Amino acid sequence: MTIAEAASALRARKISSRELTDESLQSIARENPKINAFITITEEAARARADAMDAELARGHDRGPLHGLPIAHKDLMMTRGVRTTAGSKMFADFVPREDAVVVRKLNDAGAVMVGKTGLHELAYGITSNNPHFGAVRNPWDTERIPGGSSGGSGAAVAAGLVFLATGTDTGGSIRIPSSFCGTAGLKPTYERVSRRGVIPLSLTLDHIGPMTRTVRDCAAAFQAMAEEPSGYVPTHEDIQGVRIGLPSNYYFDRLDAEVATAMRSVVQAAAALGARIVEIRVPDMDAINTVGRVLLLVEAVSNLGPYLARRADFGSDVLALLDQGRLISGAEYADAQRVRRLQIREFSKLWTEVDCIFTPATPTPAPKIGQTTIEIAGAAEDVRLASTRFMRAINVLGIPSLAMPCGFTRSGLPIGLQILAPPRQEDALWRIGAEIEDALALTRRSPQFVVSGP
Amino acid sequence: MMTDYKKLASALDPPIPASDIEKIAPVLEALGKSFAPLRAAIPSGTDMWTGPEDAA
Repeated sequence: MTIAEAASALRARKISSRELTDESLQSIARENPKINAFITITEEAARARADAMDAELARGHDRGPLHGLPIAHKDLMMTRGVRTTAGSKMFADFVPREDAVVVRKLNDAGAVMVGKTGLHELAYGITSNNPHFGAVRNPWDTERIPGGSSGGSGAAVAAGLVFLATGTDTGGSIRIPSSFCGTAGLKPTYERVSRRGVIPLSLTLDHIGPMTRTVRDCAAAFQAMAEEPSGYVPTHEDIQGVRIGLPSNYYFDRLDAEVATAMRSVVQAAAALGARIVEIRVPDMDAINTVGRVLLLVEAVSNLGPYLARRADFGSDVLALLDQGRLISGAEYADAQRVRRLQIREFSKLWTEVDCIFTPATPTPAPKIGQTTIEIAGAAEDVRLASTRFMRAINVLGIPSLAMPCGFTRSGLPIGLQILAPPRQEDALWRIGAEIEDALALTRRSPQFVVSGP
Repeated sequence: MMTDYKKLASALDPPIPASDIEKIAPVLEALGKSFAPLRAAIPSGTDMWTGPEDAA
């Protein structure tokens, strides 16, 4: 069921918020032991909240499409009275006194929080293989990672446990799990969704966004989360004449063969809808990724440095990244921010040629849990660097990016498409993404919790 | 000029243990190698990026 379908059923009195919430909680009780998507489940509070939302609707107070729908928050969003661990020992007992702005906005929109989702420790990594709270597992194959850092959110949405889960994205942390779990996920324009009340990793690269089953659900959620929302949720749109940029360099150089095939199919689908496919050359994306790594390494230490006296309480991968950040000089950081300005200016020239850009979201489908390298086009690559290769630069640029499913491998793993647009043009992503989603007709596929063989 | 990460790490408070620096020094050296030409090519007078208004 989509957000629009549930909203319609609620208003037709075919179902209540309490029934939807009970169903969500029962699904979590049944499936969470298999995928470990949740760190905290707020069962009692969710039922009370659902009853209150039903009562409001009965009185004629309608808060909009999310009214009464069960959702989850990444356990990085501060939630008043509900512990917020950040997937870390440091915050294991942290109970905030205030809600994050995005939590408050979704409360105001009538959403019912059923729990907090698991993540990579401190949102600093892409596997969600958390040393303190256990590995989050991919619902499409529980021996594989869901991606991260918003892995619990991706897994919860893909498994149909909630309609919406919030995520954060510093170098792909919404879009990588969306790609690996087959969900729609938006990294908005920088600061389009407030970061206030979200435990920070990198002040100039962190973005907050929605993760849902469909593009239209994602649009509806974004409108409730955004500062200055446009209110636009696509119905059936015409994308004739829309100029879609297809990079002839970088994004197709090192790619899993099945991802390449899926990308060809999605480009054909867009052309069949009347879009104009325009071949473009993107600037040096590896250089932008380099700048992104320098910025992230330093800014993460700025945020988490005070905890470094407790070295034993960090997972080894996060500690290694924090140590790297401590060894980068202030001059290097300042220069990275200067290069960033030049890179943003250079990349923005593309928007005179095209309205959006299609790229693969990740070069491969989901790797296995514990896998550290992955073979792509005959060469071994570090899993973290490969998974962020098409993502990190977009955080440096601050532009909006939508990840959504564009196919499945022969073994049944989702394959992700990434659509990029100019700053503050999220509505273009909704319009184009929804039409592509309709054309590909993939959203009714559900994971079967298949455990892969040895 | 190569940075002596081992020397730098031992001077930090708290210090980075020698066994840990062995693992991360090659990563930093590779990152530094990629970043050096970008730094060298910054035109004089280029300001730092300071916020989303710079994205326009």
